[in-house]
Amino acid sequence: MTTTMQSTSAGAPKAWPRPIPDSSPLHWVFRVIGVAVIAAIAIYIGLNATPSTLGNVTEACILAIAAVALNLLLGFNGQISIGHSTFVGLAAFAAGYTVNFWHWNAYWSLVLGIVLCFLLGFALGLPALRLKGPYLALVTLAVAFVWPTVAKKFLEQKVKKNSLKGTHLSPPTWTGLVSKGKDARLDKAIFLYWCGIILLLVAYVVVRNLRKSRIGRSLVAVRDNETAAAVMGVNLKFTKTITFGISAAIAGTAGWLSAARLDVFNDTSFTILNSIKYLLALFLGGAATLLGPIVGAFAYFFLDDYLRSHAPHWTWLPGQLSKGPIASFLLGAIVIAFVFIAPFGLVGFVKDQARRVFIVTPRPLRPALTPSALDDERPEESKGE
Amino acid sequence: MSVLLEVTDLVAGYGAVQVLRGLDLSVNEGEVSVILGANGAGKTTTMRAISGMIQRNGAVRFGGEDITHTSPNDIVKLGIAQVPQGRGTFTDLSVSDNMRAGAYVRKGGAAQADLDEWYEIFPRLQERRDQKAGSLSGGEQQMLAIARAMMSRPKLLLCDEPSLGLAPIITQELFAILGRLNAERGLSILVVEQNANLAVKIAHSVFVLETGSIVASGTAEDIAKDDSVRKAYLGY
Ligand SMILES: Nc1ncnc2c1ncn2[C@@H]1O[C@H](COP(=O)(O)OP(=O)(O)O)[C@@H](O)[C@H]1O
Ligand SMILES: [Mg+2]
Repeated sequence: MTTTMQSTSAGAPKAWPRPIPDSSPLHWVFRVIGVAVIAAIAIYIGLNATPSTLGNVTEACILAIAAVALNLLLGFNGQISIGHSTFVGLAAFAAGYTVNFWHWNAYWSLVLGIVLCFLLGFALGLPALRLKGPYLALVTLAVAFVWPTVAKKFLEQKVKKNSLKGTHLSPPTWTGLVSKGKDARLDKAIFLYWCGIILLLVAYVVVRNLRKSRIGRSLVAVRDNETAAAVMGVNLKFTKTITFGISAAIAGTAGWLSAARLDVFNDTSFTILNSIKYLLALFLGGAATLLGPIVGAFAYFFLDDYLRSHAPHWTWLPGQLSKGPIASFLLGAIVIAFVFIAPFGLVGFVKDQARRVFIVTPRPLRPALTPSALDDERPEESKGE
Repeated sequence: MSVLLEVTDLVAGYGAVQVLRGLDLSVNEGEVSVILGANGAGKTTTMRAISGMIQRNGAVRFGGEDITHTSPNDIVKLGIAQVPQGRGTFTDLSVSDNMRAGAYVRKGGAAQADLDEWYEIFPRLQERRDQKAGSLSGGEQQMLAIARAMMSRPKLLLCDEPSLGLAPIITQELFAILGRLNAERGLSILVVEQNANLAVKIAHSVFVLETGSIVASGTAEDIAKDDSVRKAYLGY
């Protein structure tokens, strides 16, 4: 790196990249600023945005929740799934049906969706015990393919229509938002926006805490080396099936939110294309990082949105391609090009850049295990490297 | 000396493929046993059968208890830890998380004091505790594999070809540490090796494994005197 910038006096710390001891006050300042900025943006949007922008952000949250779910399974546990659209669809159908036909409270339908998705995910985890990589991908692919057929049968036989209505979730009175009158559209959008933000936050916190726990270490251990994990006493069957179940359950919350947002949906609403979107969003943001799926989902969603309204019509293209804007094609090309440049996604890319300026160094070693040292888990003095 | 691990007439394999054909071996409490065997003799299979990772028949007794039908998870809890062949590093976990993963079966997980204890023995691991374990050198990864296995506080440590792919000087260091763990802590160890001068030096008993059964066994001195064994496995 830039050796010229190094200070001449031997032993003095290098100017750049600047070391920041882990969990030192400065490190905390950075963390708090980061959280505050994100919270401020979220609140600003909630207070000022138009219904259509709010709707877009909510839609991006749905994509982000699904990507967070997939990240738990694929990023941390190493099991691929192209079938996550099915979990999203299952929870959406469960919500739409129970609310419209059984007059369930919409929040109970969320619980139902989570439970159903967990069970289906757990069941899908069973073949995953024997299959890996492309074989597991094929099984989940089959599930994603079968879902529209099942959904269609369900619509024909139970709903007796070719679509299912959304849950029309309206804001409870304590929020101060109204569900009737001229502000209803905006207020409903605000409410769904906050539902999206909160569910995304919950999904993030669940995955984060799981990742940092003993169970989370075992997930990654299983991904990195199954044999070694097993000889350490990690139960492979349990770990893999439960991870599949939890991931599916989280994806289910995305489906419930879709059902709350959409006016109507049908058997073609949750197809394998959605699954591919989750995968692209995850890899764009950075798999196996906590923030990657969220960053990736937002980047993907708004890039997609931008391209749809701004992509050119290239009439010189052959056949079908020349008929519409080539947004999807450009989007795919951009994602592939980006992942080629930054294999660890946006988050990996930003981390790499940040490392040129700041390096988080490990906490200083604990001097000795004297009782006083045990009282203070975090000695403040930083070790000069 | 009481027998800690006693394996009698062990038969095991993979599906229809039978690899171990009635194998007998034992490890005494506080001693080091070494299994010598060529490539494909069934050393790794033996380790897997002892730790319950594959279907087995015969009898495996540990500390007087029959563990032939015990699950791998419970076997670790009883006090058998394994350093798998090829080290089994969790490459994307940090060094300290690798070690914590080693204490997976312990209630309450790993205490910082345990980590510190092993950092003292392996200072290199302490220096690199927040790095991804995949970025360590081969020798460091082998040390990590041992420290990680020890985090479950085992009575018996199984080491599957720990010298594989390591420079001779690192191998020496490694066996010095295994010898110390045995001498200072009374840890019982079962090591398998192909090329085994160093292993035999710290061994109390040696077993020679050929195509799934033990063809010779004895004290380290006895085995070193056996001409054919010496030629085949000790290389002089
Ligand atoms: N997972 C497996 N499935 C089927 N056969 C195996 C498997 N692992 C090892 N074997 C076979 O078992 C025999 C012994 O292998 P192994 O125990 O790994 O030998 P070693 O560790 O002594 O080199 C070999 O013939 C090998 O081909
Ligand atoms: Mg082997």
